[in-house]
Amino acid sequence: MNFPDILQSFLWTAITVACYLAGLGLRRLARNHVLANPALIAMILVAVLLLATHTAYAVYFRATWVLTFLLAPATVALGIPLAKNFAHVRQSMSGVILGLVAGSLTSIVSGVLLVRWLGGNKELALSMLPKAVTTPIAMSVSGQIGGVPALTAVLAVLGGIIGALTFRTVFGLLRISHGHAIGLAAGTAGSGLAASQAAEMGDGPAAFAAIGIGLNGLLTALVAPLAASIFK
Amino acid sequence: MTPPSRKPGKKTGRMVVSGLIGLFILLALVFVGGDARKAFHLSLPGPVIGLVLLAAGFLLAERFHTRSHRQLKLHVAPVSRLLVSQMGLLFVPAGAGIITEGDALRHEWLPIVAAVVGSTLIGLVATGWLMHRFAPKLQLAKI
Repeated sequence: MNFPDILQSFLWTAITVACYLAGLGLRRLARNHVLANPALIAMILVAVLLLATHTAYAVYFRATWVLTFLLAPATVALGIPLAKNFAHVRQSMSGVILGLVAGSLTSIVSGVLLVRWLGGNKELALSMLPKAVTTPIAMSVSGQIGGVPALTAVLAVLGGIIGALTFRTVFGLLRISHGHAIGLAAGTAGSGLAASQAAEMGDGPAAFAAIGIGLNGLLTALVAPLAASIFK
Repeated sequence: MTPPSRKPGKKTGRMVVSGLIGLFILLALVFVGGDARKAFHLSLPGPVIGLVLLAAGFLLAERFHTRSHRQLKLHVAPVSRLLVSQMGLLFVPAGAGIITEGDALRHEWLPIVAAVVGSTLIGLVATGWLMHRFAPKLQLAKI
């Protein structure tokens, strides 16, 4: 690596961190509203900066490799909250397994079918397929089955925002009041964003939200290649 | 947040060292996961295999080996909490790649919006309803 490369790496990584910090600040200003998602705000700011400075995306992506590199250990790190809350799974084994499998499969199938019915292409359908899962797992699954990881990242964040915005209303209408069910559903269908909202409801919902994130990540990574080959 | 201490510098130093040990363990699991994926022809991404190994290791240590469980909680848990809570930062570079997909977004906004909203709601209802129906009702009063 020569000097300008190092400088460019440092510069773009620092800019990305600054954009994320701006996102965190905006979220605080918006009193933690789910729409003020720091990652989404940072992505938009970075995109605007890249377009404004006529920087090729490939150059930026190579320069910020450190951040992308850390996604892999961050994914492994999800094992800790899963393990810490795993005792709860044993208490309600049938509910967790049924709920998880049903939620995972319906969201995979409905995502792909809705895209295809409304005229979206195959690449979009495959990028949509793993979007319910926590973003880093969704991205690597997407790349593996022929989707576009960047598109999946945005779809995953959008899905999380939709889940976080709607889950209280949806469960209120359906009279689903069991805190564990709400937590598991938020973690399974809305990944980290909806889960963090559900976690505010108490320890039970928080534990089951962590279980939903971890186990649905695992389940979707297992069934995605099969599902993708069926839809092809 | 940190309790008053006579040598705050020493404490920060210990936290950094412990964080680095934790990060090293997480990275080792990333590579073990990647190798296991290749060796056994698994369809799971390497980091997801690492996740399973870490969770399994944590549960086994909790049950059978108190000392390594304490070590995991001391070194791996704090850095894990940091990485998980600020994970959003780490996928900004990948997500910004959306600018190369501008045409797709303009032409396919309808299937994108409909599928994201529709399938998220369907997944929420499916999981929530089944869990509500089949989970033990004992804890209901507490929540």
